[in-house]
Parts: sequence; structure tokens; C-alpha cells
Amino acid sequence: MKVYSIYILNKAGGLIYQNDVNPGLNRLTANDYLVLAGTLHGVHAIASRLTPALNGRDTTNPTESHSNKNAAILSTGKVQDANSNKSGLQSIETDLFNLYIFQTLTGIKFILVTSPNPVVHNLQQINRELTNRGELSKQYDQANEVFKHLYIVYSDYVMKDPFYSLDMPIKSSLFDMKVKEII
Amino acid sequence: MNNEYDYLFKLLLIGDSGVGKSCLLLRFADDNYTPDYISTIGVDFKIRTIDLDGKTIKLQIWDTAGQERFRTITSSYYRGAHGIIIVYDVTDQESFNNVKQWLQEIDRYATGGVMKLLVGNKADLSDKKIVDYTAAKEFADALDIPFLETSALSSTNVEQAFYTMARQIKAQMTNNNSSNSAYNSGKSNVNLKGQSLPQDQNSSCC
Repeated sequence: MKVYSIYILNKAGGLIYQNDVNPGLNRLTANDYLVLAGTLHGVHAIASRLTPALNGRDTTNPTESHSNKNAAILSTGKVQDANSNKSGLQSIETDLFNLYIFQTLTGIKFILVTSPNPVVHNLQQINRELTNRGELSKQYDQANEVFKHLYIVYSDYVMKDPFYSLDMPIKSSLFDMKVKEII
Repeated sequence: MNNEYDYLFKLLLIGDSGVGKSCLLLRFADDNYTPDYISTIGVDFKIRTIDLDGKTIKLQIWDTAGQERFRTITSSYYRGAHGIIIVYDVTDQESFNNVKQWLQEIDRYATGGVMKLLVGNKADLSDKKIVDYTAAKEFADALDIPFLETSALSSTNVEQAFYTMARQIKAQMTNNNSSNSAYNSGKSNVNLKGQSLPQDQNSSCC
């Protein structure tokens, strides 16, 4: 898996960090990136309302509990549930690139744009791969691994930066460097 | 990478359907005007870069749909907004009456301490004007919200409306920062200078 770009969105859906770590994607204008970020934010919010109850856990009244959860997110800006990243949008897969989204408990979104899934030519192989959690889900796991490291680096080098003002663009060469190290 | 702007402010335009939110935005972002009415579906963005005190600021303006049927979606866009502009139509008394409801909406969904601005649009239609400037001004003053009358058609006050907002947000931000640093550098509770304790209290114990 090749990572083309990393974006970070604040809890309001504003693009606060953008790093094209590998060339390959077409460049957009700065404004278009902001629009893309805002749109993904909105789609994520609406998609999380679609989310069905997780494994029958919320057996009482799934729709109600989800609307409650949503209300809690909207009013406090935080996700109280540890499974927060299960709802909403996690990935968008196309023939030419994949996009992965990871939302933290505080509503920050990390976004990765990567190379597409490897092509699997015959159906039997796909089935085998799926049951073995093979090639197809491997890329998803890899993306999650990158997210984990990104989150740590973000916590260490952005959140602990005394000159950083919350929800504003991240301009830290140290953070840039650490991000490069992950990739 | 991200060196094009120093600040990113999220502004939100709200108000009844048809008061001219999108036109106001079109004027500000693209310096354009269209007399056609196209209802906004959900939300639309426009972005404009401005310079304030040597800092480059991106104003990302979220233009919401005024129509009732989109209300459920738009409420989720209030979150994290730095400033909210409430728009009404000076030729439509109903839209001004509804400003109160929009303010309630802000209280319910937006972050506390968010900057507000009241804007009466379509000020160029002076012969059809119903909402009096002084009435609106009094209303805004009572709530301690700045107020402007604008016209997206003749572009009166449009720049001012957005610049007023941006300046206020920036001022609030630098205020927060300086008050923090004053708190840290000023009379702090913790003394780190390592003074020795007064010695005159001879202990009588053992």
C-alpha cells in the first residue's frame, strides 16, 4: 500500500493539515481541498445515522440509542463510545485510489489517500483471501496501523506544542518530519 | 504543505429561506450576483482568503439551506463554527420575526461564546422596505450583537459584514492567548524560585 496523502480535519470539518507524502495524485486548489474536507465531514455525519446497532448490543431501541449518541456527539463535540470509529464512513474505494477515514474520540478526523486495492483476478482467490483475511483486508489493516501511529505523533507533537492554537492549521516542521518517518 | 494560510475560520450563514444568504456569499466570495433563485440543498461552501494584520486567513463559509426540510442536516454544521451570521430580508417582516428562532437554534447547537452578527439583506429595495433600521438595531443592541444592513445586489456593506466577523474572531482568539500567557507569567500560585522557608519558627518538637 502506497500512501499518497494525509489530511487532518478538526472537529468542525476544517482542513488543518495536508501532506502529500508521495506524488501521484492530481493537485487541487487550496480551496478545493477545503471543500473536499467539509464534504467528507458532512457525509460522515449523515452516514453515522445509517449505522445499524452493533452486533445486537443495543437491543433496547437501536434507533433511539443512535440518535442519542449522535446528539451527544453534536452537543459535546465528543464521542463517548469507544466504538466511535465503527459508525460513519471508514473507507471509500475506487479503481484508482482508496480513501480511509479514522475519527478519534474527540472528533478529529485523520484521512489517508492510498493506492487502490491490489487486483485479484479470480473469484475463488477472492473467496479464499476473504476467509483468510488476506490481501483485501490487509490494506485496511495497514491503513489502521498508519492511523494509530499518526494519532500518537499528533498527540505528541501537535497537542503538546505550546504555540499551537486548537483547531487551527498545523504548521510544525517537527510534525511533518515525524509523519514522514511513519510513511 | 499547509503554509498558505495562518488561520482557518468557520463561518455559518443562517436565516429563513429566500432572504439571500447564497447571494450574499456569492457577492463576497466571487464578487458576483445572480437574480436567479436556486434553493440551497443541505449545505454549500465558499472560501475566501483575506489578510488581517499581516496574517492570511481562510474564511470557510458554510451556506446552509433555510428550508425547513433541510433543518435536520444543517444542525450538525453548527459544531465548531467560529462565527454565525443570521440573515433576514428587510422587505419581509416574517423573516425578521424568525431571527429569534434562529438564535435559539444557535444556543442549542453551537459552541458557547460563538460570534454572532445580524444582517438585514436586500437593503437596495428601499421602496419595499418593511423592517425599520432602528427597530432592528435596537433588537440587536439588546442582545449585544453587531448589526448591519447589506445588499448583495449593489454589494453595500457585504465586505464589512464578513470583515467585521473575521476581525472579531481574530481579536477573541488573540485575547484568549494573551490572557493565558498573562495567567502563566503573572501572579502565579506556584513559586518556583526555591526560597528557603522562614527559619524563626523553631520547632519545639524533640
